[in-house]
Amino acid sequence: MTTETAIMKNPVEGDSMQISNIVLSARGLRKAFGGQVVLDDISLDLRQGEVVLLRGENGSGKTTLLNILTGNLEPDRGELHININGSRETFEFPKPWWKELNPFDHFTPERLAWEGIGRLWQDLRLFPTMTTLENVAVAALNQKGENPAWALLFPKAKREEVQNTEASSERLKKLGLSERLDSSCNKIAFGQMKRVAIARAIQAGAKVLFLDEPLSGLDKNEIAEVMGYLKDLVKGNSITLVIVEHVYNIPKILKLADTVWTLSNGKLTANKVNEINEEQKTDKLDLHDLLKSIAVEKGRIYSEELPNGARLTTAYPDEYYGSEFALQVKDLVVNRGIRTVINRLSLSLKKGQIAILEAPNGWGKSTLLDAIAGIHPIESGKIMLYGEEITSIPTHKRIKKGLSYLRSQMSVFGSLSVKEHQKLSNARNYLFNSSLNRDSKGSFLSGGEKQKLLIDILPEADVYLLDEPMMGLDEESIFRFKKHFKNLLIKNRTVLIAQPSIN
Amino acid sequence: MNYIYHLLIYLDIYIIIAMSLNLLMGYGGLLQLAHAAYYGIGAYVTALLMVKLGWGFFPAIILSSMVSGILSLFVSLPAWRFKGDYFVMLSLSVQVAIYSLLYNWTDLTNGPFGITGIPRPVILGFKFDDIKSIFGLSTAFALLCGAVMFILLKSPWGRALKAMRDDELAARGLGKNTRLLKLQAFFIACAMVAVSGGLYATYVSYIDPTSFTLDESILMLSMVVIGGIGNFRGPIVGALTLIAIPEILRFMNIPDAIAANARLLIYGLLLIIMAHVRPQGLAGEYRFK
Repeated sequence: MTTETAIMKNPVEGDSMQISNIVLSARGLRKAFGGQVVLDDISLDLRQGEVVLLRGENGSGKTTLLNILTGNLEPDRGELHININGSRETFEFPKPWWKELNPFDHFTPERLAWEGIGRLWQDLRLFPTMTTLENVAVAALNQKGENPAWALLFPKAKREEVQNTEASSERLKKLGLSERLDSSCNKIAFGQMKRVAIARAIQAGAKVLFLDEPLSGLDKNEIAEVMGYLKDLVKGNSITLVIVEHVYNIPKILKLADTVWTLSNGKLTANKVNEINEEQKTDKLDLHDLLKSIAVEKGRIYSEELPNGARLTTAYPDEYYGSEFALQVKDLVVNRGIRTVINRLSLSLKKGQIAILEAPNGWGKSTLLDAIAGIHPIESGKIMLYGEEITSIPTHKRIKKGLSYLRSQMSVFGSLSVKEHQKLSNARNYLFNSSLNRDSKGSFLSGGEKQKLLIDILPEADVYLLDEPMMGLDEESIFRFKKHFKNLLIKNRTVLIAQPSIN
Repeated sequence: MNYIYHLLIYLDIYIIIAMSLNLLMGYGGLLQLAHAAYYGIGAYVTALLMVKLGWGFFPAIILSSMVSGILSLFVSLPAWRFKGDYFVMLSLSVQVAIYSLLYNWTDLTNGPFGITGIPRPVILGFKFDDIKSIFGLSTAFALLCGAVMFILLKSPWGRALKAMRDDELAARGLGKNTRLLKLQAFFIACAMVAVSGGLYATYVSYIDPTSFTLDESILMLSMVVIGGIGNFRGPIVGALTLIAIPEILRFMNIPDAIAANARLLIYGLLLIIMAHVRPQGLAGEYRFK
């Protein structure tokens, strides 16, 4: 590692400091999409072993900044300096014309990965046809066997492969996945997928790791496990972390973070954690608050334990006590592959009732909602909507009969604009219309904006099935969402929400 | 008995072809429609070296593999930027361009009249003159190519290729040079299919451009899709199935004029049925999207 030190203004402390322990710095980054400036003159420094929380409202440019710092997107202007493991790289934008001509001299994710920059994607992007072990093993850099000539002529490359497999296996075991080493990555629970994705990024030799919502979609135990693993990483390996997290989980990340970057109106401000003195209103963000408000006004809350650690909490106004059933599920059995995920489950929801199904990841929440919506086949049982059996009719007919379904991890149509999405749906009242640019294409929306759009275009219905509806939403959007659904309940609509058990 | 050996030689040749195409489609996720053109390059280069320059079988087949591998840049370089349907169209244009070259460069290829009198292989003084010995040679080549493919597909290189097929951006984020992976995969696949082209040329002793048309590329594609992609056994099953179909039709006493069309009809129907009933093919494990 070079011993050269330079003087650079540190945006966190506001004074001068030596950059010898700065692993990544950016100066004057600017990025605009179709005239809309998302990042404007952003400068930042990242030190070895530092943990940074990156926060900002939906659409503030968090993902855009992550994309730039990981080589997935070129900024319009600015500089990026990387100084990891003794290798120094500087990328300047706009690029000189001669660099455009060289196909191997690009600012690319693979180039930055070789420099030690890794990323955990919000949608994980695991390799679905591979096992968990293969997903981690493939990540190791500089494997001799990745050269086909070497793989053919020197079977001794196998020794290196054995070591790599053992290291990958150890990493997965450390994350509690010892019994899932040979499971296909598209057949494990979301929380397990998340842990595989983290293990994969570390196996790739990441020294600076950007994590996009590492805790979202995880249940209480999984959050504790992942947090423990992140702590070990920072303590043991001097790995630098930049974490973007949902508003719910920010207090958990703050316990680990040294620095907070806040993105607002295209500008980035950096503060030390102890300078952040705002009260986290996570209680108010909790969906149970919605139940309480219904119960306080006029009604009751009921809580029912379901098999395998799940809980169904429900509330409805007293005047609907004797009302008819809106949704009934009787003795439902659903398999995923050879495994029975839902076994003889029964539940009923009345008109005007809201229920929150909380269960650990892997319990089958999404599978249950998929089965009710007709997306996933069932083995046996009955599903009734307002007394009429809908078990054997296709999804589009269920929607016509009054069902509306927001799937978890659903995506928008990349080539359609927000306006075109709205025209496709038969929704009339758009909850987040004012905060979305109606001309933006789906592929340009941030994770939170996509979720807002999906909620906006939910067909109006009598029964709503919502799978982790608040994932990716900022604080204000969550309040607006809860207010909207409270109004729907007042109008006799029925809502079933699934989410991981956090408490 | 000779008829059976004839079929088995064709089976060996098509197994090599299907395995090489499976490397691109099943492991790389790259739908290549120019494979017959590279098969043709292998056949023509081998034939020209043996007939016009008097080269031996081995050096000719090695050089033809290298030429085909290098010419794979016509498809692998565009694969850096083009994906899905656009890449299919591009590989289709390469197929048509190479076919046109074989057909129209009459000074070199003798155009539609083809090349005649291609000598039978001679290795270390042993002439593979009768059909049994040629079958032995083709089987040895099929086993060699199978072993190469088996080692490659089980290696970290094969795994990186699968990662690229599943999610190219995620693979790049892990430091995998997907451009290099594409160059390597196309080089190996095109070099391997050229070997089968050389075998074909020396077995039939006469080649002309009509053996390397788009129809042939589609037949190769059908073998891989019907047999199944993404594993080792799928292409072998596919080659066996599609070699067997015309032979079964032959025994059904269908007139020759109808049999050729019936064969195409059956290939088409099989592709449609497979797409609906078993998208991963008879013995495959990956569904091509």
